[in-house]
Amino acid sequence: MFGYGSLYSLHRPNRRRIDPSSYIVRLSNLIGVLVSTFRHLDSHQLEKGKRRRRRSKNLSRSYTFVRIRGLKMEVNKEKYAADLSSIEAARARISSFIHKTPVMTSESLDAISGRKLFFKCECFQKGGAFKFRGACNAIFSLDDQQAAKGVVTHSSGNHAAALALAAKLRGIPAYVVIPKNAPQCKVRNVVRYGGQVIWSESTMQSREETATKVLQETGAALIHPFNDGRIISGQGTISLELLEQSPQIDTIIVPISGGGLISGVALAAKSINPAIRILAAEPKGANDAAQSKAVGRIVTLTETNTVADGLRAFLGELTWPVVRDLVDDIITVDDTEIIDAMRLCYEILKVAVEPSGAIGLAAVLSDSFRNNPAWKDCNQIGIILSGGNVDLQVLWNSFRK
Amino acid sequence: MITARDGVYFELHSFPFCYCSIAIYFGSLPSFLYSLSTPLTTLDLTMDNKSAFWLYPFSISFTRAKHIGFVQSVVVLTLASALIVSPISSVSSFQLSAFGPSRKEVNILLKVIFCLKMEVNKEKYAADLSSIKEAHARISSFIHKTPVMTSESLDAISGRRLFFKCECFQKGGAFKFRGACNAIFSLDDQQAAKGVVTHSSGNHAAALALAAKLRGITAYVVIPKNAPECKVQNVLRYGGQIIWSEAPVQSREEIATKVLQETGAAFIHPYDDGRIISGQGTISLELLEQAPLIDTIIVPISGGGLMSGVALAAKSINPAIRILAAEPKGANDAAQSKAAGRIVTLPETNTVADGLRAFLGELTWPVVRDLVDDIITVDDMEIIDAMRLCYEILKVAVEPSGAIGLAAVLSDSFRSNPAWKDCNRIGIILSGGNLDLEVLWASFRK
Repeated sequence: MFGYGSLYSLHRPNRRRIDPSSYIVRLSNLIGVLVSTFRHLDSHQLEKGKRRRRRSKNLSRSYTFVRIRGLKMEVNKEKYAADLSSIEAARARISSFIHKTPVMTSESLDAISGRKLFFKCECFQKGGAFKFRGACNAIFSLDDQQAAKGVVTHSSGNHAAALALAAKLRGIPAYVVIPKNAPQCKVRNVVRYGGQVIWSESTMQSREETATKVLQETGAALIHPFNDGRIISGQGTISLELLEQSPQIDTIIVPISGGGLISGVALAAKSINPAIRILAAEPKGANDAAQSKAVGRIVTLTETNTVADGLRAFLGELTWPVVRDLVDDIITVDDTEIIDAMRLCYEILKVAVEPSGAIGLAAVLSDSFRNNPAWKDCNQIGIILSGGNVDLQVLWNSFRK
Repeated sequence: MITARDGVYFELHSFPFCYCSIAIYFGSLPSFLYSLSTPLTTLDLTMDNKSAFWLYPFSISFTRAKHIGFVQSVVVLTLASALIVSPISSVSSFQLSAFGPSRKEVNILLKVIFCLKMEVNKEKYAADLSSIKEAHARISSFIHKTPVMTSESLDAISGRRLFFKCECFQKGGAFKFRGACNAIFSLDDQQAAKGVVTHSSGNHAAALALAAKLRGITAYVVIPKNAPECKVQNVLRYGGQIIWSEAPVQSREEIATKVLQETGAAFIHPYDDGRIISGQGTISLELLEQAPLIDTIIVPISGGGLMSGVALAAKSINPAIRILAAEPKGANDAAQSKAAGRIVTLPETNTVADGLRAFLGELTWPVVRDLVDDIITVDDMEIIDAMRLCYEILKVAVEPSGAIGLAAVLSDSFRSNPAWKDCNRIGIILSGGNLDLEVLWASFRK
């Protein structure tokens, strides 16, 4: 111990004391010491000389949990693409551009689900989905020289429109590569926000090739839909607002696709309240994240088949570690449950969500959630209604008859 | 000599107007002194502009004096002549000279005139600002304080700044819950124990059922056989007791009367009731708190309950605010009534907006006649287009009756009317969201 302490004083001017007060914490301290000798992290400072050992009989579980979680965050600190400070910086950067969306409650839905539900209505965000937060943060983080050349992305969904709108707010061009089979309503959004549409074939390869070509021609910055620290930080601002508006929440259920939203939400929420549970909701026909978590590495599927068109992407290099470490469980639901939940949102909440947006409610109402004893004391659940861009043409046609 | 003052100009002779304003001010002093002799019971200061302390003589004298005496008739006559000389339609059409009152004082004078008008007509309206504030205190722990939403896209499409008061998020899916709650919680315990009864094919039925459930009393709801499924389901979900009747209004009323006689329950009319009107008026209180810069409010009109409450509250708080009604062309009884000067009923109505088919009532008609500035009629295509914008841009699920306010703002008759060209900050009430979306769910199941 003496030797380690002196080793530290050479490399680490900032010290942080830890009060070991239980066997568990002491054990984890020991592990941390061993790790930190190889990794030079600053969280396991030991006093030179004596180390006080105190037993606390009344150590609460959450305190231990906090310490372990804190240690784990410290240990893995360099691995995550964002953290609470980058998320707070993002909030300061984008707050004048975004809507602070409301949190809604419904006694009818509380009765149906048996829990208290808090719906964070990100479908009311500009562009109709939460994507605008990340896009705004990415675009307003660019320096002027880079920004002047514009931004480029390939997306068939809400990220395209969000990027177009954010670019319009900054006054720079946005080149959006859209596959031919993209939903009409999402293409219309891009056009309405002044994005320059470049069509490509529907395969991922064609989209990437076209995007690379545009990048080479214009020198624009490629903004990935989710695998980007600035995007993740932008999405994390949802947690900051949600926990301010409803601080009593003990669980947050988030739709998962590429993992950008859930990474941001999880990083922010667990930093503010490490005892909070983060659950993901995924369609059964696109359950790559559930398979990845089971196997312990990123799994991609050969094809996806779900009505939730916004949840068909696979995890990325930056989002996978957060999903692996900070997401407590992934609940998969089938398409019928998603549509039933969407129906409840329209008929009881009066909120127009897309299927991807309603999947959180579907997860809460699913049998696998209700019967799972691990979640039986999740009583105050925050659900993120992620977006509302869906084609309702069949409804308008029925009125015209 | 005409000079600019606060950017507003006087068009006609300023001298008579100044004379009138001086005459009013000094003329009211004797009546003020007279009113001091009567004991002070309640001081009903309806003006919120506390800084205009020099105007207190007006309001105090007008409210405390029980009779309109000689002096006040002189005041009224000078005012009337001033009104004939310089017509007051909106504040911005005034043109002031260097000797005339400033814009702020004109606004205050308008409040005076309004107070006078309210005083003169005091017994005619079924509700007023104090009853609306009482209603707010009574129901605020039960209702949702619904958000006000804005959208830059819709602002660009309409050319105005729009503020959407989303009453579709209210409990029961429509604003009706406010009035129903106020009515039910105003009943004394003895009356409440016997329950309440109503006949309605719409949102009032579910709202009453929910409010009754909250108080723990029975709600008997007479529903015609052709009522929309979703609205019947709402009544069931909130525990109302359904009694079916035939479609015509006569059958509904007969059965309601029968239930009333059997149970002794209190009959709560969907709109023609002071307590209902007061409850709906709480929307104005919230809206003007959340978005105080609004200069116009557009409200759907059917029986006039929502319109009356909103107009009474809004005009009391800010008499310069404009209140416009939106009505379907296929059910334009209110527009015809306003044109004819008396209540007009139609032999049949034909509109997709199923919540707007009722006719004006005895209590709501006077408010619509006096306080509503204009009624804008729109056809069904415009209503559906506006509903589509609400779904696709605002992401709010409204019913056609709820989207009609936006349809009115986007209609040609509103856009091209010069009277409304300086309505720049418009509050629109999205009144409800209960509609049958079965065709949408069926398409997903394919």
